Amino acid sequence: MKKSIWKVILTGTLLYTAVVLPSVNAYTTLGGKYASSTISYIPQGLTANYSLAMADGIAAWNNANVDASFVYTSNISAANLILRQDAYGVNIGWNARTANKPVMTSGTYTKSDIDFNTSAMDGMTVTARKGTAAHELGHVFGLDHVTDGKQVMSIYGVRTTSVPGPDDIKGVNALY
Amino acid sequence: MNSVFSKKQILTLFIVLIAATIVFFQVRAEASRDKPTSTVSMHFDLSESFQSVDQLRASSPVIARVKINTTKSYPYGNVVFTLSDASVQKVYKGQLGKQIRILETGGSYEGLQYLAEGNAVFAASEEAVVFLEKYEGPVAEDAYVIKGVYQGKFKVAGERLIPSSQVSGELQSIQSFHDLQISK
Repeated sequence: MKKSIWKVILTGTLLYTAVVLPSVNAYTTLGGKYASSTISYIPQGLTANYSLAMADGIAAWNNANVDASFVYTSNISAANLILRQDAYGVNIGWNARTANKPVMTSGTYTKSDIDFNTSAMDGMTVTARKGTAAHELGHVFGLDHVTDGKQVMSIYGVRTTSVPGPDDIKGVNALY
Repeated sequence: MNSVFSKKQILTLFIVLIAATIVFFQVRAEASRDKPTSTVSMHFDLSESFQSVDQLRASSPVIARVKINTTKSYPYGNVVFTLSDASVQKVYKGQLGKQIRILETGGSYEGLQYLAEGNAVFAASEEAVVFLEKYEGPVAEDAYVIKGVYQGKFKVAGERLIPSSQVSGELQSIQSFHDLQISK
């Protein structure tokens, strides 16, 4: 009798570990998103290194089979996302920043800005710049930071990938 | 009919009233110009992330308790920054004068309040323990920046310290000067 109880407990624990735990959402969201799953973008004054970072980051998301995508527009007033670069200082504390407007923490986004800090990013490898671009693009979708370094939404220094991981993809697909 | 006021007095009173009305509306317009009506929370790919007080201390050339006197927000490039003039109340590490300037990313500009991962920049009369390094860049001259943008900033509220939002590890649980291993 006791053996059967232990068998049931053991089987239940194994099932929970194998099925339930992996399905727990390991992404976090900012609380807002775009109304459309197609987000238009335009670069403004990006030099070759940063155009490449942007293109690589966008390709990383578009190739990840998420239910939303970035599409180029030549119309700046119609663009949802504008990408720029400037030198803000080597120790200002950030490599790049995203600002989703009108309100980042809730509601529906209509405009986003991504700004690359060339003072901090010029010394990065091509792959690291791609990772930073993909990370910021994740914020544009509405994703927040995570601690798992295998996800592109993890922070610089912890991040070991430059392409969206499975939890990043789940996060975008939950939003769009 | 003899009036209580002369024409000259009435004219003077009229001019004073007009001038007062203009000043009133100018002051009100000035006050509302920088008053944020909407919040934009900025999200970063941070250059550094700190998990513990030891990491933060080792990375910071200067640690001090400061009181903010004045703040000024302005755009540089496409980003809003705030430069605060602060009085140094106590220095725990490094060397500082009595007054310093602290540069933060964020602030209020053209009706929008820009928050760094949900954290507001300094406001006048706030006190904080800050982990600093000298800023190197074009946004401000002779200024210090907070390590990790907002991670090295602990607001003083009486006997308590309040860590910034979105910090990691041990920094989330800082509540007192003792937790930072410093004296008040």
